[in-house]
Amino acid sequence: MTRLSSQQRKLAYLLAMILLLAPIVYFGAPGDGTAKSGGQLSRLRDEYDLGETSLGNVDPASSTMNLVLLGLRGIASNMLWQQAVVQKDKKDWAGLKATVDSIVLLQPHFRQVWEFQGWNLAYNVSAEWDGVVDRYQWVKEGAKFMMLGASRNHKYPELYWESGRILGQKIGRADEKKFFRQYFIDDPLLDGGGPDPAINPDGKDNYLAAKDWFVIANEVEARPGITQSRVADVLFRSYPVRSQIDYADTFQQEGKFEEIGRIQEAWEVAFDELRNQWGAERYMTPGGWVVMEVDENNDVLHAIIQEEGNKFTLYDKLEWVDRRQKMCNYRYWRTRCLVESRPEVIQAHKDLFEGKRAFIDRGDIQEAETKLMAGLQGMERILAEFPELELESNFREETLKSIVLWRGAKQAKGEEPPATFPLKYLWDAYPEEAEGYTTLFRSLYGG
Amino acid sequence: MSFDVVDFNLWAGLLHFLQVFCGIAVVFLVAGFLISLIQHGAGGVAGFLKGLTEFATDFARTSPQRIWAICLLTWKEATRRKALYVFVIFALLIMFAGWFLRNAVDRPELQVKNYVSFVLTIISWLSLPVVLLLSCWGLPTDIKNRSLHTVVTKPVRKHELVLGRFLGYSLVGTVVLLVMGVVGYFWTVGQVPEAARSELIGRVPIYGNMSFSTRQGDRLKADLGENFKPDDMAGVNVGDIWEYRSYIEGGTKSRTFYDFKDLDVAAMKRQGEFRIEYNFEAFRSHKGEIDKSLLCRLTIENQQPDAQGKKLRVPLPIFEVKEFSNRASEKTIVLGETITYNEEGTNEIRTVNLFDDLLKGGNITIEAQCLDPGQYLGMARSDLYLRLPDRSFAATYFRGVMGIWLQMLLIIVLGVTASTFVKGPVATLLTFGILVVGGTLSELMRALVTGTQEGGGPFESAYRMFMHLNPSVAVEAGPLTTIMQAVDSVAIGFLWTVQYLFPDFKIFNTTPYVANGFLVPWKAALLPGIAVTLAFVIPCLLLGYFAMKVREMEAK
Repeated sequence: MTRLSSQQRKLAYLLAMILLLAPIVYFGAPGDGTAKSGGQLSRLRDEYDLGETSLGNVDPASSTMNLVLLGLRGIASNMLWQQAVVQKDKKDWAGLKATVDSIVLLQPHFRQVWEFQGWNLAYNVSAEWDGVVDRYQWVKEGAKFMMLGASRNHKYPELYWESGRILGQKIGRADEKKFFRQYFIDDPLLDGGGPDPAINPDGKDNYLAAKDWFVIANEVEARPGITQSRVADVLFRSYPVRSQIDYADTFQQEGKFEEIGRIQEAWEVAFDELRNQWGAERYMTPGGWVVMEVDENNDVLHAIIQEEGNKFTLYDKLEWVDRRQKMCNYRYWRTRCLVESRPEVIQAHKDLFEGKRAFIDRGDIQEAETKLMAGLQGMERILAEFPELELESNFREETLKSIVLWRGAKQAKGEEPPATFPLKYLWDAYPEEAEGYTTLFRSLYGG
Repeated sequence: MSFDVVDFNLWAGLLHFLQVFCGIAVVFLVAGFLISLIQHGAGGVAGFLKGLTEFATDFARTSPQRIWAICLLTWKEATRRKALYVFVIFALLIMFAGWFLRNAVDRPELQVKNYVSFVLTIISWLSLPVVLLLSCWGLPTDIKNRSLHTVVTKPVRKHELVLGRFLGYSLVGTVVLLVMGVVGYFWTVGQVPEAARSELIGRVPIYGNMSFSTRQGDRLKADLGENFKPDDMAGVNVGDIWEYRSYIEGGTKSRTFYDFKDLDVAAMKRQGEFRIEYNFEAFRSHKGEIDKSLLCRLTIENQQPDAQGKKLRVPLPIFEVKEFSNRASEKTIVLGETITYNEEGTNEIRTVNLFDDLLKGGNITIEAQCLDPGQYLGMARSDLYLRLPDRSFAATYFRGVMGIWLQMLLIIVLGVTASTFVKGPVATLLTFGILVVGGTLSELMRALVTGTQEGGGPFESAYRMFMHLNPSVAVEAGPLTTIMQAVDSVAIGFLWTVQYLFPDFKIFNTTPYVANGFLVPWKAALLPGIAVTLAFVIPCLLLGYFAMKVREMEAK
């Protein structure tokens, strides 16, 4: 070697470099985005769908961070997780959010990071704040975080589903739901109000916005090779319909009875989607494929049995249909959607709602008694026609609480509640619930 | 802020330094004398005395010119070693930092904290390793390259060599830090969203002493007797993992008292206003009114009784607690010269002069009370303070940079000293080790030495781990335990001896003050930093002097 001149040595290095470059180009040449382009590694990545771009949108900052850290990504993310825990304990919320953002730069395709921290922000951090607007801001942070996770990870239906759950359940069922639902349409944190385009670009009701996310979650989950690991498929698929039901239910919950056309439409849409989408989908069971919406002649099931080469009997299929229906309370929800769009049911809800408001807000005992009685009579007629409704706790809660209020109105007038009254059989059938609501009533209003 | 601000006791610190310094000096002198005796027999006494005389002469004839020359030489060396390339990394980080920090949270005022912390952390993380490496490798490389021979052959005293190095690297570090600090300042001011610029301030707080009263209204007094526990002086514990705040129950006679003494009322009067800022935390035991924050009332009581022995009490208007808000304006109560209030008990409307009546004498107590029954307000000592006129953000920011600078000086001092008796890699490891132990393990060390650390010393801990015994369970008494604890006491004794050799680097961290919009306090943050740095300069200089004196320059 020492006999080579400097120029010869340089030429030798150059040659070695070119020789080494050849396998690098052969194996590692990047693709141009089209199929079968680039080197061997790029093609294999494409073939097995392993490229980062196939997982979701790529954040340039994330790639930079991983590059800069060389092989220390694991250690760095471990330290950041510990830091996030300390920051949460010490209530350094801005620091926690910044740390969480750094964690996802290091672990952008680790599903549980998005799920855990999104939930942490929307549920745990928001609950720590005292101001209701502040709490809403953290719910939004959690929702945005989860949505970002979904955009970076197109193959995880759970992230779309969790985004829907924050918009639907957190905003719609929290103690602060009255405010959160309102803020979702008209955000007090934005200059000039209006919906926050980051979480509600179309200015929809929170349940309808959530429904959109659940629909996408179902679409992602339906793709070949993708599964979700949160709940049974039959329940996972129910979320768009359940969101529609929740939306329809808000009219009654919030006393918006003047929009009777919209109430009916909302319930009709729910009924239609329940039977023709959720109910018509096929679910795998130990008894083969089944659907939950079965016609009188079992035509759908017969067709499936034939497709499966008569591997299962109709009896097997019906048994598994029944099991799946019970698993998700399918028959109840179907009846509920059917019933709730009827004008007489809407009227009964309206009477109960107005009776309750007359008693609590205005102290108008006479009107409360009249309205509550009318509502209870209406409910009695409905339950006579659809007795399975009494099995659902929300329905029972509404009627039993109304009976408690009606009895309270009677007592306030100095009268003893009569021995018989509408829905007395329900009152007698669920004594513990009746007692619980009575105790709650006494603690709030005396008597 | 999320920590208590305690003033540094300079005299106690100085006394402690002198004790440790004199103790170590005596040990070294005795050891030196004995070694001299062993090596040279009776002639050792004369040699020892000669050494002391040389030492005195060397230090008495210190030449600032020579030190300056060494200092300039060090500067040249450092720049030749491309130390200033650190600016390139800094520029890159600053350029792309926005990618990682922007819009971390929708609320701009919460963002300020992240930007400021980022800048100060980056400045420390970039500048400190540079000076650490420079200071640890300078002398050993010079010795190795024999370039030091050209210096030691000149009439330069050994301590001048060490001192020149201290100053030279400090000069390099100062320039690096100054450039980074100035760029970082403008970057921070430019990056912080427009809506949050008003939060870039340097609050000047006056803290009081805090105490609580029970729900029956009995004020808890410090009983420093044998059975005293800190919890006896605290409010309610609501089960928070973080026990920084103590809570008072709403709708009861429970109060928090903040006692302020010797206020400069004349100066406050000249400013024409009196500001109180709070940072309370809310805890709800029931939902209450969801859309309303918890209500609080502050009452100011003058501690100087009137002729009837009555103290003037002025309840301030009720306000909603803005929990976790970083906006100073939302949490500051501003009082003008005249205050109109409702007299407690009679509800009679009265007017008082703030400065002449309420603050008369300069001793006041501010009582905080939660008004919502069943709800709780959490408070710590630094959660309520009197706010003097704010200083600019630049004032606190550059004090923060000064904190980093002091830390840098200390690292240089330790690094150069280490490099006088060991080679570059070992000096680097040694200095880095001191930095890690002093920065992260000093609390553990103090807890072990004082016996407050649960789980015992190294052997007992190992035994507990092996036996799956958690730290709060007592180890069964027996001969094994006795032996284990005896061995541990030797280890802990050693730790006790060396604990002061590791400076507590946490005291240099002034970032929380700057990030939270407080002026970095002189007595609680900068003074301890200066004191610790100086406390290490003198012994390190002496150690470096003796090490260079006995070092064989030919040994590479």
